Parts: sequence; structure tokens; C-alpha cells
Amino acid sequence: MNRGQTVIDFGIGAGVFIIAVGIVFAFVPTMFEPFSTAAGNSPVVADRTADHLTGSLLATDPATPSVLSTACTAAFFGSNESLGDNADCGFNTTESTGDLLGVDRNVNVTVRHLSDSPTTGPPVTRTVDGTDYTLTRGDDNTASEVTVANRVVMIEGDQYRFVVKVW
Amino acid sequence: MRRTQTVDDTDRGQAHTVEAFIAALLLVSGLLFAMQATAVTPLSASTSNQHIENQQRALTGDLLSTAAEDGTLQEAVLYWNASRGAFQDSPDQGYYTDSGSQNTFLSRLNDTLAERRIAYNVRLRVHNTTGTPSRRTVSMVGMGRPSDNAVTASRMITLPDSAMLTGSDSRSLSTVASKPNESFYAPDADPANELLYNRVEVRVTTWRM
Repeated sequence: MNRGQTVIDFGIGAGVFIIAVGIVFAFVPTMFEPFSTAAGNSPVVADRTADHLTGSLLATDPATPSVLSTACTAAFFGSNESLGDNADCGFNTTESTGDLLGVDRNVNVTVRHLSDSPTTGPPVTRTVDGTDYTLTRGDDNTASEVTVANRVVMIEGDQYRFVVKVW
Repeated sequence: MRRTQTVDDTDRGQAHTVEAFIAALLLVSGLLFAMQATAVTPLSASTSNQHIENQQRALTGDLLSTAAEDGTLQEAVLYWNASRGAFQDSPDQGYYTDSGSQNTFLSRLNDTLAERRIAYNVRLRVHNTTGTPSRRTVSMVGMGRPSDNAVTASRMITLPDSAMLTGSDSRSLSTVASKPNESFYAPDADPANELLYNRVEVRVTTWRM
């Protein structure tokens, strides 16, 4: 019998095909990795939280975002209910950070000096009505996968970096 | 009958190796096509990440709006040496070619962006009264050609006739315009009006170094 095909020929062909199928199937899951990690939508959550805080919740006037009200900022970070009520800030500062911001994951909000590291620098301390307020709020034990959103804010003429971490 | 059977067996039109290569090629090209369709894959450069670009744009926009709020943006725009026809203390090009702390706005850009390895160009767009185009672009800081993943934030400020230069010659814009040997980068857009001088759009383009 003169079949135009040998066993070796078939073996090589089938081998090449099976290897190609294997590589393609192994690669497909990694293509979707950026969308399916635990982080998922946290870039959006971090960004919107930072926008919400600097643009309306703590802003002196929504027309001038990033210029923060001193009293509302102190009330927010220091959980000082009476200070917040007197300044008419429009939020209940004794609620947990997640409830206050409407975020169902861990949030840390910290104000740092512009020249310090955005993620590890020490928080800013400001004095309002003779009381010192450390401008940080939320759990500090961050997980390994954290999404960070950055803003620049102005409090009484001083510029700071406003950092929101979500995980 | 027997003869036909023999012909069938000898001329089987099939070569498994070539077929397998074609099938493998199809699979791989399908995968490459799918990779082009998705925006971000593990192989994409990290600086093109949309989140990073958004953060840079927000940061620059905030720097501009806070500077406009406390007046340092206008101070930077007017930091001009009228007799030299260039920004104060700038090199021969007439604009700053590196990050620096010549005035408050520039030192804030330096602290916030350059220290974090983000490069920036600052350009000013002003109304042109003579000829076309109707808008002129002047460089304030030029650190090079932006990368493909650069983002831009801009802010408009209005200069009155009475605005004083903040450089070494402290004169108002209308005085500078009336002197023949002194110049400002923007012309008086409305000479009939005592109040308005020109409107400046400050554009900051940032990219990761």
C-alpha cells in the first residue's frame, strides 16, 4: 500500500496542533486578569470618593473645588460632631467611614504634605479652635493590593496632597 | 473496482504537518486579534493605565484651580521681564526649560510633579489681535516632547489692564503696551476698554518620565 502519509508525519502534525491549542488556552485567562482581580472596580471607587470629598463634601463652595473648609475638614477627620454641625457641613461625622462615604470596602483618607511620599508620608496636623486634628481617617493596616487616588487641596491657603486608599 | 481502490489509497490528498501548522496559525491569529480588541492586557505598558492618567489629570487640574484661587496663577503668568521680552530669570530661550522654583506656582508644580518623576510643559494660549491664527501659544515651561500617554489640564484666567508684572520691572500691562521698547507676550485684546487686557488659557501637559 502506498499511502502518501507516514506515522511520523502524522505524529508531528498532531503534536504541533495540540501544543498550539494548549498555549492558546493557557494564555486566554491571563488576558482577562486586569479586569477580574480583586481590585476590580476600585480605581473607580477611589477616584469618585476623592472627587466627592474634595469637590463637595469638604469643599467650602462647590464652585471652587479643592478649596476645603477648615471646620468641615477638622470635623470629618476628628469625628467632631458639634464642630461639623456648627459649620453646617451636611454629614454625620460619627458614622463609620464606609457608611459616611457610601463605600462598602475599606477606605483610608489621609492629608499629607506635598513634598512627602503620597502613600507613606506622615499625616498633616492642623489646629482648629485650639484643638489639634491629625488629618487621617479610616483603617491604617492596608492590604497588599490597594488603589490610590490623589488630589491637591488647599486648606486656609496651604496646599496639601489628599490621598484616598481603597482596598 | 480493485483498480479504483488502489488509486484512492496512493493519492490521499492530505499532509498532516502542513494542516496542523495552518490550524495553529489560525488559533494564534485569533488570540492576537482578541488582544488588540481589549484595552488593557498584561502586556500593555503600565504608564498607559487609564487610572494613572486620570490621577495625573485630576492632580494637575487641582493645582491649577487652587493656584487660580489664591492668585499664584496670575502671579506666574505675569512673571515677565518686559525689557528683555522673556520670562523673568529664564534661559536664552525665553522660557523655563527645567523644573524650578522661580515663583510660587512653579515651585508647587516642582514639588508635586517633578519630585514624583512627572514631567510637564506649561503653555499659555492668548488672544491675538493681529492676523491669523486668532490665538497664539507661548511656552512658559518646556521640558520636551510629551509621550503618547500625556494628559492636559487647562484653566482660563483674565488679565485686567491694571495688572502689574511680578518680575523685576513692576509696571502695569497698559504701561508696558504703551512703551515702544518693552513687550508682553499678549497684546491688548480690547484697547477701547479700560478693564480687559487679555484672557490667558494656561495649559499644563504632564507625562511620566
